[in-house]
Amino acid sequence: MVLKADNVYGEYVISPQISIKAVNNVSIELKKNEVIGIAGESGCGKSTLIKILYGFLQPPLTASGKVLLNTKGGFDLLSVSEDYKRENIWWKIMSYIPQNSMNVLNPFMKIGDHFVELLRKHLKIEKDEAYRVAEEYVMSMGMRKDILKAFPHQLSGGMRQRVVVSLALLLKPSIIFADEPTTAVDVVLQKVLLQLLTDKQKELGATLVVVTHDMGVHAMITQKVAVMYAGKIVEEAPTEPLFEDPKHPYTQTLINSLPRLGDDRPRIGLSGSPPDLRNPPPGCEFHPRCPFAMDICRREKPLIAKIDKDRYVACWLYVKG
Amino acid sequence: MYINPRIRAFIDVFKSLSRYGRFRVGIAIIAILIALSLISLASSPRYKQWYVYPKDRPPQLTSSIDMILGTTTNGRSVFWIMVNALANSLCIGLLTALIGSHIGLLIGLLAGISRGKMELGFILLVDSFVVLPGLPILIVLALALKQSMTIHTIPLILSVIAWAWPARNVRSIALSVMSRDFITIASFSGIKFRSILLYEVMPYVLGWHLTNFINTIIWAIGMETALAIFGLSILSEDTLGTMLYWVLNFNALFRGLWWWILPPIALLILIFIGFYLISVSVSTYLNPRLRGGVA
Repeated sequence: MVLKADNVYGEYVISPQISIKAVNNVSIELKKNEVIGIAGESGCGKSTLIKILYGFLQPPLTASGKVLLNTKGGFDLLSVSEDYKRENIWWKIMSYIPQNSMNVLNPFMKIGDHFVELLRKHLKIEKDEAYRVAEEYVMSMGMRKDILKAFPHQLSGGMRQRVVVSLALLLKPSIIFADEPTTAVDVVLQKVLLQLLTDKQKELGATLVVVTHDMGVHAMITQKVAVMYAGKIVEEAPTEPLFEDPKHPYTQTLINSLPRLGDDRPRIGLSGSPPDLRNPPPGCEFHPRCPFAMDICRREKPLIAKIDKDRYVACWLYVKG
Repeated sequence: MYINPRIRAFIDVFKSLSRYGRFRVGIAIIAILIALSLISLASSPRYKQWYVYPKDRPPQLTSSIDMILGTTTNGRSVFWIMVNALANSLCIGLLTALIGSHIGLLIGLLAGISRGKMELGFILLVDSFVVLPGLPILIVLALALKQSMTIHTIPLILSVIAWAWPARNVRSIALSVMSRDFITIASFSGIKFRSILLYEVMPYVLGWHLTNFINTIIWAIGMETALAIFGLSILSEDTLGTMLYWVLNFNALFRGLWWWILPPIALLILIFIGFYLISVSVSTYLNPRLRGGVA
């Protein structure tokens, strides 16, 4: 176990009257050398959860609960100071691959300067030496060292994403968060990028957390998937059993929506949209859209039922009375 | 030969800038104007006195070097008036830009990065100065301070108005840059806010700042001219504005003394064109996407 979140709540406080509860009582454990997927539709709190796990809290986001990082005795990420995280944790122990990674490089800086800036900041080395280190590193990532002299707009989108991934892995972090790493990329590049990520993850023995709504990505690279709905993890399971036999009604519809080879039945989508997180419905958040909704679902929050080893579902259907 | 790396970098920037035709033309115009204004250093003090030159003759074009552009109705040499006026006007423009646009840069950045009540305060301050009508305020200020005005204090008066637009501009650029993805990622990667401001936000802002700087030079020279035409500048000193004031006052236009009218007008136009061309090419160069070629 390298990182453990315990009953984490995340809330965007916009004004004293309005607050959006984006993450609601989430507990999750990240183990060493593991690829974990976080699935769910847009606006279900995936990215917010990642920010909280990363310990990056900027107004209006506030969080409560505990995020325990298991290095050097272990401490709570949410309670240490931001300066400490900046000096010792961010990018060294945990790093982050952003959404839209094609467009996150500073258009006014050469690629080399991006590397040099990070190396100088974190390793406290001189500029010339940092540049040499960057050259070697870029070559070890299978890119030509000329790209260090290029501006971001002179590279192709795929190249830029590889640069961003390389930047994230620069200091050999032990936890890598990838927030929708493959959005806005064609499938060929998706495969290359995911391959690069998983290869490096194995090489470093790191934990990779992949956040995406794309169930295909989860099926391809993850070992464990946590499905989120309305700020809660509704199902957590190893990838294979989850795809073969999804338990939670929401996961079932998610998986059923995937096209399968040789199956030409029309896909039945889920009606409705995710609930308003400013005032979520009472009871189970999913009940307005759930085909199996019962009386109790409208009244009480579901308990977490253990189905199997490492398999948990938050649904009244599986709570043994 | 060893050259200091900073100087070398400066030379390199200059070399790449001079690939633009616009920049070459602009810098040539400004160089000529500066050379002209430097000639004023060589002017003898007596050129300022009236009636030094023969006054019994009407204003005329003569062939002597001293009076290459002829004389005014007062018998002064237009050439010496012109070079001195040019030097003074450029000095006013430059000083105003140094004061005004840097105040604008500072306040704009502070307004861009502050939040809450501070931000509201800054916006109120900047916006009130933006909507203040510039010329009437300057007229009132010039009237009130006429006694103590010199070439070096006019820029201070102009700066009262000059900083507001640059501040608004810098604030909006800072706000826009601060919300870009790469700033978020920079803070994710553990880089301090101060470094982010210096290394990530500043390059954007500096490009605009340079443009603001050049625009403020143009604005200040124009504004001084406007004040002078109302007779509110320092009429005892020569600037391009006061030159025009005397031109109008002595009806040079109707008397056909074109050698007295044309120099200040031509110089004003040249100043505007020269600085405009430099400003445009610099802002093109500062954006790597527009720069073109592998830099």
